[in-house]
Amino acid sequence: MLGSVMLESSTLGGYALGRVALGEVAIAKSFLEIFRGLGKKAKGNAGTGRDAPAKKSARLVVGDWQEDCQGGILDTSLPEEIEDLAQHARALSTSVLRPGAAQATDDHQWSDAAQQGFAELGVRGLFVPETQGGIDRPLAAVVVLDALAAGDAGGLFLADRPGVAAGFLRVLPEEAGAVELAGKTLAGEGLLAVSMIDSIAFLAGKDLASLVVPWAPGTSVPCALGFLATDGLGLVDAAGLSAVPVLGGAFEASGGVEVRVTDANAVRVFPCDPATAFAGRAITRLWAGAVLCGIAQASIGYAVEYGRERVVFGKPVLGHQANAFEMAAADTGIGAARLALRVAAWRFEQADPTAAWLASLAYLEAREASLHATDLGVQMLGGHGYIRDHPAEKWYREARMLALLFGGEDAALDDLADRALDAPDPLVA
Amino acid sequence: MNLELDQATKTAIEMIRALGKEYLRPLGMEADRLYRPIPADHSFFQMLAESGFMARGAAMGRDEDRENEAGAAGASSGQAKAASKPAAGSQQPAKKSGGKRTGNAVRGVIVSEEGAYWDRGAMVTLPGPGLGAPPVAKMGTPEQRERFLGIFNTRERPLWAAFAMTEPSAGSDVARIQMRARKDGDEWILTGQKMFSSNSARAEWVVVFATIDPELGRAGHRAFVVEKGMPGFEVLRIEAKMGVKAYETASFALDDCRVPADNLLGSEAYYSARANRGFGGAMETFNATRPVVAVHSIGIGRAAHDRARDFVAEEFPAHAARRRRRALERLVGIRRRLEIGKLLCVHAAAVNDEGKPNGREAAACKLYSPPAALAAIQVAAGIVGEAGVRHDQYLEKWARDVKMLDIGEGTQQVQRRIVARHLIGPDIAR
Repeated sequence: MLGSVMLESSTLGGYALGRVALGEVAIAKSFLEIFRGLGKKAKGNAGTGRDAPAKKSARLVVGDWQEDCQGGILDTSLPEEIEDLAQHARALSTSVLRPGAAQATDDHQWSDAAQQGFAELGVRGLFVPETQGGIDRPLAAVVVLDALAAGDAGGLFLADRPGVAAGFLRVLPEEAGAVELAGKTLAGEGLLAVSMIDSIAFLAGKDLASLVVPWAPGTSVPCALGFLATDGLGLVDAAGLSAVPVLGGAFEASGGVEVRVTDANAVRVFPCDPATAFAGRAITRLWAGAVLCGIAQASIGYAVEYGRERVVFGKPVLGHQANAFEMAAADTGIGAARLALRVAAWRFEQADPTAAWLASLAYLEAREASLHATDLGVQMLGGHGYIRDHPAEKWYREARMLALLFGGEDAALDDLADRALDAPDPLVA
Repeated sequence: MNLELDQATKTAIEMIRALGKEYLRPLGMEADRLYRPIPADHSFFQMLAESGFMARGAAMGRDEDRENEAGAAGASSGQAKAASKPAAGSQQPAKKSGGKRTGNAVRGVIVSEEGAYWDRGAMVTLPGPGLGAPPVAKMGTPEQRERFLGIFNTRERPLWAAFAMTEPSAGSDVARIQMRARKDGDEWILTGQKMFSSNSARAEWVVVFATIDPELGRAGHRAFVVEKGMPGFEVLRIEAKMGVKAYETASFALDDCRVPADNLLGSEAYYSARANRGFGGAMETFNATRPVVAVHSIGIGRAAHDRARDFVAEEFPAHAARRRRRALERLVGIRRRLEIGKLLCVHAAAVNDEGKPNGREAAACKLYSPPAALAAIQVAAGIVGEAGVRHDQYLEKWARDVKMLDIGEGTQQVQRRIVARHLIGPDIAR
């Protein structure tokens, strides 16, 4: 019956479906089949049945969907306890870390107050699994790191242990001593250095001269060095390592050493499946991405304060639309990266297999956003942005350095490109 | 935080996907080729109407009204009753009782993206209140919501509604609208022109923003529902657009068009309760619709991504390994911005669902997404190569379609201005 209704009303003034060549009857029939089929899926086996009148089934299904829509659950807000934690982190950031940042850079370490404040926050191990003695709240981790980095990221590598190395620990097998290593770093007894490499084959086939990490945080030999590859892990204990102090381009308060493997026999290799390795690498990227967001936000915030006051050509720097618009775009980029990092961290908490994919995308976004924002942060201050009287130059250096560490853009792109043909989008269903 | 799609949303996506594959994409392509919108009497729309498709738009704001009514009737104390009533002068549908979020804005974003994936132009033609719904839901009285949105519960024939803000001399700067509204007894007399109004030529009613005095600026804004057939309402022309041709974008004139006082959205009390309520209502409308419009661009961009991805998977042989690898990395670049753009849209809608101001988030997602999608289409076309210039390969059509979304509902520059005002302060970033 519906078909005939369609035919009667099909006076379309020459309008046709062209190459699809769907007759009106065919349209009606297949449309109703779509709804009927979906009704069965949506309501289990409570569909209207094959012989049910077509019109009725269509109505029923649409009606059911309306009911199902009530009480939706999609939500991007942070849980209350994480908001509370973030508030404490922001307070530490503004009252202790930021005011002490310049001195910490000169002293090559955070002040006692900063270290004590960080310890009191109790956020070590937020990326570490509970089975290794950690807290395992990646979402809280990215929120807190972001807030702290906005104060002073300089000493975070040392304060937050195992920090960026947690991605390595998460996928390190128990028989490799993961629990002991996690315990040691969580207790502050040692620092685990990590390096991202392409394949564990690199470890087997290389001579000692090439097993060098050019910069790692710390002031002495780390308690272990972890290699995070796409197909497994490498682990070298302190006995097989040496370290010499080096000055990095930033993060002075985290020290800086060149780490060398001194004993080829000390390298232990643990192959693993690519998905597991990808997850470990992605957690590392979450850490870096969150810190990059904090640094970038600090830079934009400072430039806003400066640009509201400083007058050029008769009005504040940011009263000029060209400047204001670029700041708006930079701020939007940071917000985008932050949101993606949080969602990726949340997906890790849900053991969602798409988490590593989004975390790596989010890292690339954070990288790009922070490079843009910190460059702009200097630019808005002009010559003042280039001198140490203002923190803009520090943030500029930090973003550039962190954007290169842990594989940087290339390793992330490699990981993602390997999966580009079949990566699912959870929001597409 | 929770970004797990619920079953209802998954079902809705599947429904739109089936609809899109079978109808939206072919109809959109045909409209593009013929350079004319899909006619209002097309049997496709009749079919949708008969299946109850329009009911979703009809529910906007009215579900909350019903819940409030039920809550007020069931409340045992006078205090509880008072608490459930909207404040004086406020016609906002109150939030769900118990603070329960409806998720309707987020779900709308997710489902809209799927529709735009198939054809954004054809999707905008789907019957229902469309962009007319948010101002009625946000600014209207419960009676007006019932009167204007309730008609979409019908299954007899397809119906449309529309929204009209832009004028020939006031686009981005909506504070400068010139459409005049004069009170005359129990009626308002509207005079002026509107343009770039989607579906208004076929609409049962159009929400028209006008000013009682241009000298008052924002304070003079009022929103009226102008109904089909009201004397003085004349459609001037259907615009010939570069893309998204499946729906009508109309210009119309109101020539001393008399509108009953009951058609002033929210009634007089709404505007006297607080300064700039009319303009604010328009802005709230944009805050509700921008995430949807922004995510449309993501849908188009995703279609382009998938086209390029399939091309790489099927067409690049092993001996083209370097080119294949480069293409895969470029696909990652596309995916990054599209996925994150969609998250921004979801976030802006989620803040709206919470009942919180979302002006900054709505502007941010609208600032970010269309350029991301435009770049995605350009890169996708680059991957596909010369075939990307052909009309039947869709990519060139999508490049035209998506540009609309960088303009409509506030240009990219308007969004930058909004974000800048939030970031820097309205005293400096003017």
